[in-house]
Amino acid sequence: MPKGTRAASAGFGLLFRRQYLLWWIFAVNFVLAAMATLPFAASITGVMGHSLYSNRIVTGFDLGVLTELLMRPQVHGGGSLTLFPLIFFVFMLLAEGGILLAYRQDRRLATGEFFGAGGKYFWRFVRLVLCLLVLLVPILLAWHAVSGWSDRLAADSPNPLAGFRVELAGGIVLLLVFLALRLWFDMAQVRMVASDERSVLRALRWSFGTTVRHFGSLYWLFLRISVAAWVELALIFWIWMDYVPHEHMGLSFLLGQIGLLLWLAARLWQRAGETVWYARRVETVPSS
Amino acid sequence: MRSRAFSVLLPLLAVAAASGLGLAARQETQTTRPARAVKLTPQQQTAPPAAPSPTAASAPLQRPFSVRVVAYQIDARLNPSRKTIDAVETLRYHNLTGQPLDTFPFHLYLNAFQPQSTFMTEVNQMGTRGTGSGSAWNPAHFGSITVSSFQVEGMGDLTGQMRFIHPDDANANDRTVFEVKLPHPVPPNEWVTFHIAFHDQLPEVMERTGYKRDFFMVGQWFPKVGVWWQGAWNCHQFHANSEFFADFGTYLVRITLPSNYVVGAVGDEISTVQDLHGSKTVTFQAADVHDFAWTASPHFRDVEDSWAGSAGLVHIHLLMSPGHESSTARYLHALKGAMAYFDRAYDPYPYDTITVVDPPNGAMDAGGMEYPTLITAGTTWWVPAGIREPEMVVVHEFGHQYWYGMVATNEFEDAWLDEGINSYSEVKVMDALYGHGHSMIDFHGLTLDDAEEQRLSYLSLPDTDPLTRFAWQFMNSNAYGAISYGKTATVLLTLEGMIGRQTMQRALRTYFLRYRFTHPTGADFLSTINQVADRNLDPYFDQAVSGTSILDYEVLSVDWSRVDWWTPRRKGRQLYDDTVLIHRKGDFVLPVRVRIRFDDGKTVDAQWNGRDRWVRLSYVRPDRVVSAEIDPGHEVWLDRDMFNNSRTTDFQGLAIGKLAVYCQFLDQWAAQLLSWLT
Repeated sequence: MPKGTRAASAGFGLLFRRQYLLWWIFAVNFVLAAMATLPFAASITGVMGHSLYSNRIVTGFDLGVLTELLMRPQVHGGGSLTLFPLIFFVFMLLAEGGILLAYRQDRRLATGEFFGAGGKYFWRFVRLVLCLLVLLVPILLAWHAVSGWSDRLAADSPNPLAGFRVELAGGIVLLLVFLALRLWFDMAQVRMVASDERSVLRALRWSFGTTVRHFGSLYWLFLRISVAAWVELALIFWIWMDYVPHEHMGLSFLLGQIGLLLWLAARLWQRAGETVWYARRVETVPSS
Repeated sequence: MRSRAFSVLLPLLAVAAASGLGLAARQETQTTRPARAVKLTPQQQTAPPAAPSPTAASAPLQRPFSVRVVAYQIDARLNPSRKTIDAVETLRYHNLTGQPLDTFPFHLYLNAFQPQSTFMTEVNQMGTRGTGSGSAWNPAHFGSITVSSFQVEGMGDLTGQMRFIHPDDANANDRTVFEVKLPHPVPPNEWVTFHIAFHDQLPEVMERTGYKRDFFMVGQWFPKVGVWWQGAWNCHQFHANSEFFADFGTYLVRITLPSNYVVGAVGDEISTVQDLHGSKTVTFQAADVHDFAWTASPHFRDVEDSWAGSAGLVHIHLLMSPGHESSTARYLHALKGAMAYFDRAYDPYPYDTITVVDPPNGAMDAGGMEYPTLITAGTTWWVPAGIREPEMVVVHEFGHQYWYGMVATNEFEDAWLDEGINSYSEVKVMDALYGHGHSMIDFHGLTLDDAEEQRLSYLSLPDTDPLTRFAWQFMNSNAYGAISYGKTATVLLTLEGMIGRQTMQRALRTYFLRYRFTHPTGADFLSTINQVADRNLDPYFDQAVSGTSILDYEVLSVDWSRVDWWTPRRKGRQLYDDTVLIHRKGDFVLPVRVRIRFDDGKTVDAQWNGRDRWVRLSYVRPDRVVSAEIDPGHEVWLDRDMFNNSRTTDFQGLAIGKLAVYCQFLDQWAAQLLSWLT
């Protein structure tokens, strides 16, 4: 069995043992989104709250009625819906240090400890994000070029599939590159927490070398959890759209939240797996 | 710049050789389908049909269907590498105006594709299909038509007499209409014959016309005479938001092009002649039509099929582009379904052929267009079965065979009469074929009805222009689309609710039978509806057709109180004072029905004429009112806000909860996705 597999299963065990982290982060994700949704819900309540026309949303999903609703000037809430993901993003930056510390020590951290670690690593992780954003620029430029090329092919090639194939192939390659980049930065975060590394550049240099040297096992660990997450979400969507009756709002809610919980779990599984891998491969066999 | 003298002269010689002088070098390889194709004698080319009569409604149509004012013969040669056409045209015009004519205007539509034309100026200001406003000039979109010779039989060469005119604006750079004054007039009921040599430079496909790689969609490509209508010449410049208008007649068109090209055109293909130099000449003939367009591509797959209508077999040519094979069956199903619907609802399709052109990848601007007996569709390789855009386009364009092709209204001045009536018919066909409520989209639980789509289009710009506005005078291209298509269809759907489905169908059928193969006006249409409905609907038409007022009714409040409200509440039978307040928010006045529901499940319907701004409906009953709904049958599609058409005393939380659940899910997911960057 490859080492990546062992790290993945051990990571899953760690995720399971420290599942309070998953529930806790999911709760924050849920509550923030609920707060963000409130202004939108309040605005549509003014339009639909006492209208029989709204039944056409209950007994089916009539896109005409939905579009008509969104065209009403009274309907708003886009601002809070945009703001919430940004707040969650900052929260995750703050929580990341505590999550990695809890996984590294494989114990339940007290609240003070958790946020203490989050605060300790916050600015280091912010610098890491900035570095990541810089490295994303060439990826985005490449995507822009691929898109332009595929648009030209879509317009000019006699083969109607040519543009799509280029876009699909380009998209997959760039996504794989992004995942590799994410893995590299994940390992830099693990390194920072494990060795209390203060220098972002040193952590990045170390994790780059480590990721390159152990690319197969690390990437295999990371990639298949990512794929599992997307497959899980697609499955949830499929069940939701094809098998959940329109009027079963509770079931829709439950299914959607299960899907999101599993998606978040997949990301934490990656972090747990990387921490286990680091502990086994780096700390037991000291590297240069 | 190329030398125009050579580019005109040499191909002219080639066309002359191909059409007559070079017969010895030809091999006739194929002659296809006389079927119902008609040999046209000179008498038949002009003989007027029997006068239209409402009582002759269901009598079989006899040829000639139309008053044949024009007879075109065109010999054209396509140069695929240069994207040019060189042609000679012979036009015989029958002066049926009842007065001598000494001036003739002609359209030169292809000159619209030049930066300073009225068309391009309007495109730059307002956008058009496939091109946004403010777009930079794309030299690939250059197109032109040059008349190198203009001769009139018995009057000599009048090339020097041609002068460009601008009946719609003062744009001296627009060269889409020219006029020729003859040395002496053509007497009433006499013929005049024009011989015109011209050269086309096709644009890269734009606004329905042009080339894409080796695909050619050749429309509005020859000098076309204007229409003598309502006592004057009607020959508008080409505009960004307008289509066309022409007289009925006959066409005999010979197209010479490389042998490997598959050709489709208006009318019947009557012969194909191969020459020894890798070219062929395909001849098409059409009668009782008012335009001629053709298409060619070496990559077309000609899917042949047929459909048995009440008037006989109709031969179907489906010219499919590579990669679109999955849409073949969908196109055919939609086409045959539309043909069957129109056959039943209005009258049989009288021609013996219909050609559907599927534009290739990158040539979508050629899609969604109608010509007599030829329509262009549009699809992609990936469009899922539940998204019925390809079907809708075929249904819509086939509908134009009736509303434009046969009932040939002036598309410049009355766009609503063809696009709007046709959009209404499209809704009916889509409903019949794919089911009401989900005729446009039925995809994993997501639904959209075609009628809703028309209404959404209307809602996007409900009050900018009346339906009757000239096409190029709308506020912008979006208003042209929203009003001519969406609002007109919505007005007619509302009218259907007022007069009933059967009466509406009878009215449209009568209008069709009465005015087919003529050029009716909006007044003809509205008076036909009044007559068939046996009602004066002018107050509705004044607001919906000629006006811009908004129709919006709302239930302002639904309330109840005990009749003896001042006494303590007691057990047993109570009487309640139930009141419903209805408000007319918009200026559009329309009688409406209101349904009031009580807590014992019983309902009461009330009618309100809507003349005042509000009305209070009061009932004293032993039940409490629980809801009131204006237009409970959902027949007033013109009402801008359907949400305020009803009000309940109970809170309707399910829909809000459902949307909130979806919204929250999406926001949570977006947040989690973003956190992958941390």
